[in-house]
Amino acid sequence: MKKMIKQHQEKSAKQKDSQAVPDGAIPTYLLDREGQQHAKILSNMVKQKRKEKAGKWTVPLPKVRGIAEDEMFKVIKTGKNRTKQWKRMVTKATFVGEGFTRKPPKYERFIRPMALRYKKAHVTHPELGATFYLPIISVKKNPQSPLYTQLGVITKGTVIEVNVSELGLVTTSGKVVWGKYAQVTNNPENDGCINAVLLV
Amino acid sequence: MATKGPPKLKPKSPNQEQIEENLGTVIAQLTSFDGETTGPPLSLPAGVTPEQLQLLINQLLNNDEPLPYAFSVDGREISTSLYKDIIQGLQKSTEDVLKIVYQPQAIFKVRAVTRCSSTLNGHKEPILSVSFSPDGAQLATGSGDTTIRIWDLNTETPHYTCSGHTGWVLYIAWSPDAKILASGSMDKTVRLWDPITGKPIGDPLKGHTQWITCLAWEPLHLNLKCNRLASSSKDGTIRIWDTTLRRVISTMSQHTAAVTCIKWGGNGLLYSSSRDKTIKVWDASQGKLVRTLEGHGHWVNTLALSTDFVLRTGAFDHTGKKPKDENEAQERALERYKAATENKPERLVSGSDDFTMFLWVPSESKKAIARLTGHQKLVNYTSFSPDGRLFASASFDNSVKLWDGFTGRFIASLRGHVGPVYQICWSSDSRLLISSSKDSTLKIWNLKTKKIKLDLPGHLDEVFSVDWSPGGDKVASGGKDCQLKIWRN
Repeated sequence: MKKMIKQHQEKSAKQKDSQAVPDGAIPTYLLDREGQQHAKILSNMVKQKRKEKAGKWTVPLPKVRGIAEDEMFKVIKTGKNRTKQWKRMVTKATFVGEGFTRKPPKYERFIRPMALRYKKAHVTHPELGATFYLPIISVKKNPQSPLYTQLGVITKGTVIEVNVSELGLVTTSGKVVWGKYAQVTNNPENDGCINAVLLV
Repeated sequence: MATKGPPKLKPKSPNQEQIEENLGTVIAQLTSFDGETTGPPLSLPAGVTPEQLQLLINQLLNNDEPLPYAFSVDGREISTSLYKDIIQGLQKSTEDVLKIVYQPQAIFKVRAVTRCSSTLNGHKEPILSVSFSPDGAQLATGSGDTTIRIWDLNTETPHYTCSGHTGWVLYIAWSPDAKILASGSMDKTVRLWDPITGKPIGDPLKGHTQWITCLAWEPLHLNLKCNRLASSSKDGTIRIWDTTLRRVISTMSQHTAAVTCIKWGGNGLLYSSSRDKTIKVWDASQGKLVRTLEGHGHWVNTLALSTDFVLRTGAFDHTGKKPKDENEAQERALERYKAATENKPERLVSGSDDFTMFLWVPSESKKAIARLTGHQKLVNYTSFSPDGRLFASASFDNSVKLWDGFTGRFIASLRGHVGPVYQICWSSDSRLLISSSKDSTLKIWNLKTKKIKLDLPGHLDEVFSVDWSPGGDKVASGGKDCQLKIWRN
């Protein structure tokens, strides 16, 4: 029985073709040098990664003014005697996602006023020198604090993701680029609009 | 207020012609390369050009036909005029007796190839080696698709596809009489082919336990039947085969690591380089070790003999005359070998993974003449010029370097490639050099100016192998893009 099972297993198992010639022929002087190339690729990858990490921060506006919490938020007094002070109103421009529903007002800690919400930004392509009015997809990073990023606060220096599909940018593999990052260059709360530079 | 310096004196700049006239004369002694003086010391105008010197030397030597010569003083070549190159360039006094060394140049000129005349598809895998036959009439390529193809050079079309190997064909070598093509493969065998019919000659020659790295035929002037072939393998052995009896004559197995390159010298010695850091010199007729050349600190990758070209071409020279029979061919080959060596021993240069090269006289001593440094990455390939006066080295540091073939003195660095340089090949008149590289281009270098002469793009991927036909009219190259390209002038 065992023998039979083994025979069946052998039948179904794919035999390695001993006659097959491997692809990717290389001349004798490159044989046995693959190991070195792998090592090279590895070290290059490490270098590339380091570069990328450093490159993340090379943006048009590398430094921004710090914004204190009391400038960012206005304290709202609640309660019958106006003694509770746990509510905050964001005093800067914000981006609120499309499908956002407010929490019940009783539990809402952060209020993002409708007047300061933005859906579109003026994005300049630095190489083309042209400006487009593009819809914002999300707030990628607010350099002030991760909390602001979460809230979608847009201040000067914030990296936002914009929808560039109408620009017709194409990746090296030929696909159309949809979202791209841009950095805000003005103070939206003062100006009433968002100006940004595309990061390329 | 800043004080002004004295007004600068304008250098006097009379016309160039006036300078040439006012240079005065120099006492010069013309000597041959061996150090023999020719004629009495002469009083020459300092502005004398190589062309004028050429007229002079042809008269002094009573040559029937004017021959081309190159002139140098202390190893510095005179390319524009004696004054500019030597007196200004080397700061020589005009009052000493200058020793001008003259060297005959090839009497024929090879025109640089400039265009791709055909791109031949057919191989399904990268082309690993390209080789013209010694008479330049046939071309063969070995590929990763286990076949060898023989191409028709007149129509530039495929002629025969020789299949039989079961692994990548790593190396092909033509016998010196151009009647047999040998191929070494990844499948550990050596096969012989008849290039006229495209049929295999017998079964594979088995014996090696690892793949074949290099092949070398016995030179024609030592053996007029061309029936001895040496093969080296990764298993560390070298086998000498009798191709008519189809058996091993001797096996040399003293290398402790893979043998990378073998060369069969013109005086019956066989040279082998290995990854065990040594070069061994063997007596090919008895299979005995003669001496071991040590010095390299890492794998030895390549060997080149000063007589490589004349041994490869055997009885065939630039005139294109075919010898009538074997005996005449052997006589002619011996004549050419003697003319090339001038009764001096062969020189051997070895390139290594330790970024250096060594220049040896392996038939006389185990001490190197010179250790050549300068490359910044491993030296992959070296090649002597057909006249044996220069050699070039190709390295993975993207450069080709040029060295003096007698002393090993550094001459020039040829930069231009943007990837590792894989192979180089000289034109048969020693005036041009072609190099193939990973950057998918071939480049032709002019050795008079030591500059790039032509860039030959066209390959789609790395160029693994290049060969210049011994006649000089064609270059063939093949690489990873599976295409064979033939280049012409």
